[in-house]
Amino acid sequence: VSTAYQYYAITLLVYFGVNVMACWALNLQYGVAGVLNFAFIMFQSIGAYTTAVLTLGPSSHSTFQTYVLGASLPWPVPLLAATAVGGVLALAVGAFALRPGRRDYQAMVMLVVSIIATTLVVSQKGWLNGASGLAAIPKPFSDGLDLDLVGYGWFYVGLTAVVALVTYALVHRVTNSPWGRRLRAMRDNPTALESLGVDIRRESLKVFVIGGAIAGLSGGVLVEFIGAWAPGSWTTAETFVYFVAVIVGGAGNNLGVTLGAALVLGLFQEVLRYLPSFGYAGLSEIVQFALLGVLILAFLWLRPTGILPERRRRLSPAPAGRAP
Amino acid sequence: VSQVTLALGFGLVTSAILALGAVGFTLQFGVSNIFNLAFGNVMTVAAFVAYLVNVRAGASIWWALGAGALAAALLSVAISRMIYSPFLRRGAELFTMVMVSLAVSIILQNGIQGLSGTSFYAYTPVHEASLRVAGTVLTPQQLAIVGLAAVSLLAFHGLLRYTRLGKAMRATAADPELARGCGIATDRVMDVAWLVSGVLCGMAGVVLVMNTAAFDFNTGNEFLLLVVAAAVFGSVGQPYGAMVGALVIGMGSELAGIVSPALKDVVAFAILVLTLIVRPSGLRASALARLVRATP
Repeated sequence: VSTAYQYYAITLLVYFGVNVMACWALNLQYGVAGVLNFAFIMFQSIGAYTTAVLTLGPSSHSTFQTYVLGASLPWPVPLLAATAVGGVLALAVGAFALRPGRRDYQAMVMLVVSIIATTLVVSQKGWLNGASGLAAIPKPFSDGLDLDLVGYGWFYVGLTAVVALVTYALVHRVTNSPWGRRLRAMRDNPTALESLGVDIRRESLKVFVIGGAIAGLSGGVLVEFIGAWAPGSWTTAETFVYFVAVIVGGAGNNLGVTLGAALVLGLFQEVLRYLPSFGYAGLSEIVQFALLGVLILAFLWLRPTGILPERRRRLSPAPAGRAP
Repeated sequence: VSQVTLALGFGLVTSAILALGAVGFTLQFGVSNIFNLAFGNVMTVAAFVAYLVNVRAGASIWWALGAGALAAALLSVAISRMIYSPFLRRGAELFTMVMVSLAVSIILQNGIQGLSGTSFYAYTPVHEASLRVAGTVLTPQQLAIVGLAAVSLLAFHGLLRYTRLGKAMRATAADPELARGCGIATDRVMDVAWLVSGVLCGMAGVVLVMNTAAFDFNTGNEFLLLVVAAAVFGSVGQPYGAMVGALVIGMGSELAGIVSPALKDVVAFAILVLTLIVRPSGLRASALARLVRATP
């Protein structure tokens, strides 16, 4: 297999690993708990930025970019920091965005938060280098390992896989725990759960923070691979794409969501590369986004539970002879 | 002319534009119980229709305004009838509806971008001497925008408060089931409400561009942020609250603009966050209930 194809496969795999982590996080929030995090991409983004500034080294006048908190910490510290910062930001945003009772109301507030965050980062050039974003972010272990581009790529695929598997173990544990059951109850009937004495806002905030932390981690893993991050890569449209993946795959079902990530964020996006290009540069991307909108409308109408719907959960069967 | 009174003048214009948008947005929420995230995109469509009439066909800006408002009204009714209502009739959950409206927004946004590209557009410039009014400087066009908003909102107030149709709208907003039970054709009322809100939305889109000179495919969507902030401030679903919210956000953001233009959106955001912390359901949380009870 030629180097180019190998590198293409590497890129696809790393992106898949990152996307699937993000989708699991979003699924935990939306699919399991019913919390509509429409600022999702912001949490992934702050993870990416955190990782970037903690690996780039101090920002000085000689470098072409300015940013805060420059340091060059050894791997996995930047990733851990990204996770922590994602969680803390979720705590801060959740503290006010989760206050209204209605989920759609919360979603709209978060959409506004996400847009404002982009505006701030673009206008405050000293924070994270404004609209140009950060670039030339060093790759972990690239100095120590004597590998060529492709060899290092496969190494990074392995690294991503490890992080993704750890994430999956965590998410799987949470969704199948008693607490996961409580979250599903909250999604299906918050009023009933509240009447049982559960603090809905508190439970929502918890799941919001866990999801935010995973989102931050996924951003960190991605930025160490692609080496650059700019406001253009985290518009609200990106959040929308993640939601499409979760819903198409099957909200509430971790395997379904994995499939959704592969189909929507992998296949659907890549297929367009192989179609003949048309119109002006960038038009095919625009058409692609519009088609995603149509796709999600079709799914919500025809198959709202997704390709692999959430498994119906039953309590243990009633003893024989006592059926109603 | 001091900077503050100047900013207050601009703030009045911004508030007027914002009030048109926020009242339209909040009315849609009131009757259909959904957040129409495509609202900003419909504003952009109106701005482009007005551009075609004004620049391509060479008509005056006021004809263009009418055309833009009409286009937005028809598009709003079409979206409501063809997409939102079928989902609502099926009993779609609230978060499904957010996704649906976001999908409509994405389709419109990319549709407009596909047709218009990423270039900026502007209406035919009008050369008028600025006027000094009450310690501030405004162009005749800006004064006309404020007047237009005032007249439109007064007319809306009259419609809502003193006509049978307005009563039917309030009833539908308060309790659609009960309204239907009382013999109100809620489907028709919803159509009319979307038509009216579409007109407000279209006017907001066109006057927004008249005030800011240049626009592109994303202009309305960016403005939606302020519309949402104003609507939330005044309790979503409450037209009068939305007007107050528009005034507060419009004035606040222009005053902050004195310090730094980047602060404009941030102030709107700060007001939104404060509202959510202090009073999550907004200024006029139970005002509608009172309004319904108070009118015979």
